[in-house]
Amino acid sequence: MSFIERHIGTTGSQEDSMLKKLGFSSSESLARKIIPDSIIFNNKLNLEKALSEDDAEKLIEEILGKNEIFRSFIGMGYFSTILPNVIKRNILENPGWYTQYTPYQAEISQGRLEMLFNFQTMVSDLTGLEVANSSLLDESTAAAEAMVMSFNLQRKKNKNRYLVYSKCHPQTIEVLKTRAEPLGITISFFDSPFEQGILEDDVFGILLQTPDTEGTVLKNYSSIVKDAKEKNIIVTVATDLMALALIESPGFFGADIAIGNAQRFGVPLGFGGPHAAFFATKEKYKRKIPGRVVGLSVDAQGNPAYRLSLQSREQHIRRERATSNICTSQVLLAIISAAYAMYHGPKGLKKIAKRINFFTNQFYCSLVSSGFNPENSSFFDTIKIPCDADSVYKKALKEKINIRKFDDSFVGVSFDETTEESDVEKLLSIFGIDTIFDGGDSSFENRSTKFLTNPIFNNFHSEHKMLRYLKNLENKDLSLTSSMIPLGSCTMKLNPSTCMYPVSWPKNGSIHPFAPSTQTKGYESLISSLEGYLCEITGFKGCSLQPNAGSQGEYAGLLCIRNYHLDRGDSHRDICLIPSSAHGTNPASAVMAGFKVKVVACDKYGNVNFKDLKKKCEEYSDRIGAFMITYPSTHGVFEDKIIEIADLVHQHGGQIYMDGANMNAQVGLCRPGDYGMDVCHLNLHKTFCIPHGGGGPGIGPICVAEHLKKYLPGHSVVGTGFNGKQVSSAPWGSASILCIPFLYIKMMGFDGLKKATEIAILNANYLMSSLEEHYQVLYKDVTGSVAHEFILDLRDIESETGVTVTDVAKRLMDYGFHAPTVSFPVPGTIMIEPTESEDKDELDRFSDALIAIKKEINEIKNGDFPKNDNVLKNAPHTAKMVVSSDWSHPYKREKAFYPLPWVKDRKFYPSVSRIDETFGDRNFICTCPPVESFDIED
Amino acid sequence: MLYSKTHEWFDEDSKKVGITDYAQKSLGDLTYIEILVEDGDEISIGDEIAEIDSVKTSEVVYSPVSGTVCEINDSLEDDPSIVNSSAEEEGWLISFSEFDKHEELMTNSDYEDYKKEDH
Repeated sequence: MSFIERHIGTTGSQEDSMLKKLGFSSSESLARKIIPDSIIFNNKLNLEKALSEDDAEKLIEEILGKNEIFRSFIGMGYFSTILPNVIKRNILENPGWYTQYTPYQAEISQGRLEMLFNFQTMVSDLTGLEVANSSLLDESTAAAEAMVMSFNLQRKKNKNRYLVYSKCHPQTIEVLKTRAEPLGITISFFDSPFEQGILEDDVFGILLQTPDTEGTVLKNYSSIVKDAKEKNIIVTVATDLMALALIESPGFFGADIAIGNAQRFGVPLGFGGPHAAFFATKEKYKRKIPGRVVGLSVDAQGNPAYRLSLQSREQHIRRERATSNICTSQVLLAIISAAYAMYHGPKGLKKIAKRINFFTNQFYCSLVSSGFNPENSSFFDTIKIPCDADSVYKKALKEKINIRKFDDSFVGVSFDETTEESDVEKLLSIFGIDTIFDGGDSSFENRSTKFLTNPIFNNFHSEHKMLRYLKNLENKDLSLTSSMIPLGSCTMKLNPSTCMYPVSWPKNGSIHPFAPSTQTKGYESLISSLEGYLCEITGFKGCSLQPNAGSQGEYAGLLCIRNYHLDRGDSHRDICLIPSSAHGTNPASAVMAGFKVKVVACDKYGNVNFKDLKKKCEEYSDRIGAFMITYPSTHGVFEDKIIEIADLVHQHGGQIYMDGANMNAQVGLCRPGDYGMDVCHLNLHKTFCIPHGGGGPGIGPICVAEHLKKYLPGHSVVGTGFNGKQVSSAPWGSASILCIPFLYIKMMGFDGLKKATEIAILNANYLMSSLEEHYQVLYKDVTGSVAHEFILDLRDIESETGVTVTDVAKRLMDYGFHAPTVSFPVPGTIMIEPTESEDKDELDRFSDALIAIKKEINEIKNGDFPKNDNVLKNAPHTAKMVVSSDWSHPYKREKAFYPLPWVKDRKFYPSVSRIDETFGDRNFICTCPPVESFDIED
Repeated sequence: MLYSKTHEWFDEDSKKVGITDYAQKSLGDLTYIEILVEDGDEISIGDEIAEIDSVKTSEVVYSPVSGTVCEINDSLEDDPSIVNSSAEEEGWLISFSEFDKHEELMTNSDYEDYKKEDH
C-alpha cells in the first residue's frame, strides 16, 4: 500500500458509503462545492511524485547524510549532551508522549502535567526563584518576555530604557532589539555590571548574563541588584542550568527574573531546536509571568490534581490587552529535561557539572602555563583566548573540531557533558601545547544553597524505576494512541512513524546551530526544499522557517508588513483590523508588532461583516497597516467575499495577513498567494503532521508575496538569506523536526495532499450528518455543508437542563475520548475537526458516544436524574470513585464507567475526577515542596 | 446608588465604586483582583481602575466618576471571593474623596431595564 492510503483513514469502500450518505459522487465534488469557485486552484502543484515510505526513508538518510558531525566546542547557549536511552526510547521516540494535545483537559493529562510540574520545580530550585513557568520557545524570546514583563511592571509608563549587558549571547541581543522597537523601548548596553552610574532614571529593567557569552561567571552581583531595587528597576539574569549546579543562583543574589535554555539537560542540539527555554520569577510577580504555568489543585474527591493555572493571564483570554502572544510552549522538550534531572538527581548533576568544570580548568591552566593569557579567569565551561584566531580556527576544523571565532584575535572554547580528556588534549595541541596541567579549585564562589531536594529528584536513578515511572505517567494521558482527538482548529492528524523516525538520528540531532555551512549541507538541502514546497503550496514567493510557533509566525509576518510600510515612509499605517471571531493570538501579536487593534464586526456565523469592514477602511483609510483574517474562518467557513475583502483592504493601502491555522482545508485546492493575501503563517504541527508533543514543539513558518521577501527574518550569527528582523534564537528555528513536514509532503505528493484535504472535508461532513439530528449545528453553508470542521451549539441544552459544554467535554472522557474544542470560537459550543487520518469506524464510535451522551442529557431533561447529581455533572468517573464502598449516586456504577459496550474493551482510565479550577487559581502552587532530609553534599 | 453601562456601581454617600452583582455573576468565581490605582491618584471618567480575573475570563473595570482616589479595598487581594459574596457592599474596590460623576449613570430601575436589553 502507498503511504497516502496509510495516512488517510477513509479510503475505498468506506469513502463510497460515506459519500452515498451525503449524496455526493466524489470527495472532490464535495470539496468543490464548499470552496468558492473564484479561488479554486485548477492546476497541479509542482511537487515531485509521491514516494513510498521505504524510498522516503532512503532519501532522508541520503540528505541528512550530507551533514557532517564535528566535535562542537562552540557553546553560545547550545551544548552537546547525553540523552539517557531510557528517556530517548520512552519519551522522545514514544507516540504515547508526543501525540497528546495541550493539557487543557487536565483530567486526562495528569502524566505530562506532573512532568511539567517537575520541570517547574527543577527550574525554580536551580534559579533560586519561587515561581517558574512550564517553558518558553527559546532563550532569546524568554529574554524578550522578561524585558516586556519588566516594562509592564511599572504602572505608569514613563521609563522606556532597557539596559543590556553587552556580553549576553548575540542572538539574545538581536531578538531583544526586534521586540523593543515596536513597543517604543530603547536598548542601551553596558560592559560591566560593576560600572557605576548606569542605572539612570529612565531605566525600567536590566539584563545580566552569567556565565556570560564569553564564559565569565559574574562575581557576587548583589550590590547592583540592591541599587536597582532602590530605583524600582527589575533585574533579569540569563543563566545556564548546568552551571547553576555549581554557581550561586540568581535568586540568591536577589534577581527578579531568571531565564535561559534547558537544552543541555538531555535535548539534542538539533541545529538549533526545538529546546525548552525556562523562565522563573519571584512569588510576587506570579500573575505577570508569561506562558503556561502548571498548578496544583484538587479534584471533586479532594485528591491532588494538576492543571494549567492562572489562564486569565493568557492571550486567548486577554486578546489585545495581552502583554505576550505566547501560547505553544516546548512541552516535550521540557519533559525530557525534567526527566534528565530526575534520572541524574542533584548529586549526579553536580558530578556532571564538576566534570565539565574540571576539564575547563585543565584546559585553562595548560593554556596559562604555556604563556597564553585567557580573557576570563572566572569560568564554568567556557574560555575566551587571544590568539591568531583564523589559524587556530582552521587548525581545529582540520581535526573535525568546531570552536567559536569571535574575530581575528579571539576564539572561544566551551566544554560540555560529552567532553573527554582526549578532547582537551586535541584542543591543546591545536594551540601547540602538548603538556596538560590539572587545574586547581574552581575559579568562582561555590553554590551554598541546596537544590532538587524533593524526593521526585532523588528516587528514579535506576533504569527500571525510571521506566516504570514514565510508563505510569504515560498511562494517565489520553493521546492519539488511544483514540481520535477531534479538536476543532487544532488538527490532530496522524504523526506518521516514517516522518518521526529520523528525528532522533545523530545526523539530524548532533549539529550545532552555528556550525559552519560546509558541515550542514544536508540541512541546507532539506530547508531549501521545504521552503520551496511551502511556497508552492501557498502560492507565495518567499518562506522563513525561523518562527517557532504559530504565534511567532504571526508576529514575524506582521513585522514584515510593519517594516514594508516604514520603508515606504508610511509610518502612519499603525492600525491592524481584526475580525471579532479571530484567535486571541491575532490581537496580541498585532500589539507586539506595534499596531493598534481595531475590531471588525462579524455576523453570528463568524463571517466578516463586509459593511463594517468597509466603514472601518474608510474611517482609517490612511492608517490601515494590516488586516488579519483566518481562512477558512475560525468557524470553519470559506467566506465567498474573500477576494472583495482583499481588494478593499488593498485599495486603502493595507496589507493582508492570513492566519493559516486552517490551511489544512486548502492544501491542493486553493492558494492564499493566488487570491490576494500578502503573507500567511502555517502551523506545521497541524497541517503538516508535526506532533503537538502535549503542548509543543510547534513550528510557524511564514510565506510572503514577492514585495515582502526582503523583510523575512535574518540572523545575527548565521546568514539566512534574508535581512529582516530576527525573531528566534536559531536561524531556522526548530530545525531538527523539519524532516517531518518534508517527508510528509514527499510521501503525499500533489495527489495525496489534495486527497487529504478532500477527505478532511468529507469526514467533517459525514460526522456532522451523523450528529445533526441529535445536536444543533451552529452553521452550515447555503447547501447544507460544512468545511473541515463544524460547531455544535449546546447553549439550549444548558438553559433547559443545566448541563454545560464542560460537562459534555468531561463525560466524553468516560467514553475514552478527548473533548473537541470547547467554547471557541463561540461560548457554549464545541468545535469538531475529525481530520483525514481517521477512518469511518472511529468516526462512528465518536458519534455513538456523543449520541449516547445526548440520551443521558434527555434523561436529565425528563427528570429521570437530578440536575446536580448525574453522569454528566460527576464526569469523569475514576476507578477510585466506582469501586468506592459509599457509592451514593442515583445511577449505576456501570452506567458511569462503561456507558457503551465497546468501552469495556478499550477503557481509558481518567486518573483524577473533575478538577476544581477556582481552588487552583485562588491557591496557587507551582512547585513541589522542598524536602530537607535529602542531603546532596557529596 | 448609580450604575454604569459597563456594570460598575457608584454610591454617592460613601463615594465608593465597585462592580455590580450582575457583573459578578457573569464573571463567575473570581480568582484575582488587581487595583490599578493608588490613593491620591487623580482619575478621569473611563480610566481603568482595576482588573478582575476569574478562571475563564479577565475584565477591566472603568471608573464611573472622576476625582481623587481616597482608599483602596486591600482585603480583596487576599480574598477576591468577597466580590462574589457581596459585590455591592463589602466588595467595593476604591473610594473617592471628591468626585464628578458621569452624566450617563443610571438609577436602579434604569439599570434593571438596561440589564434586560444587555442580555
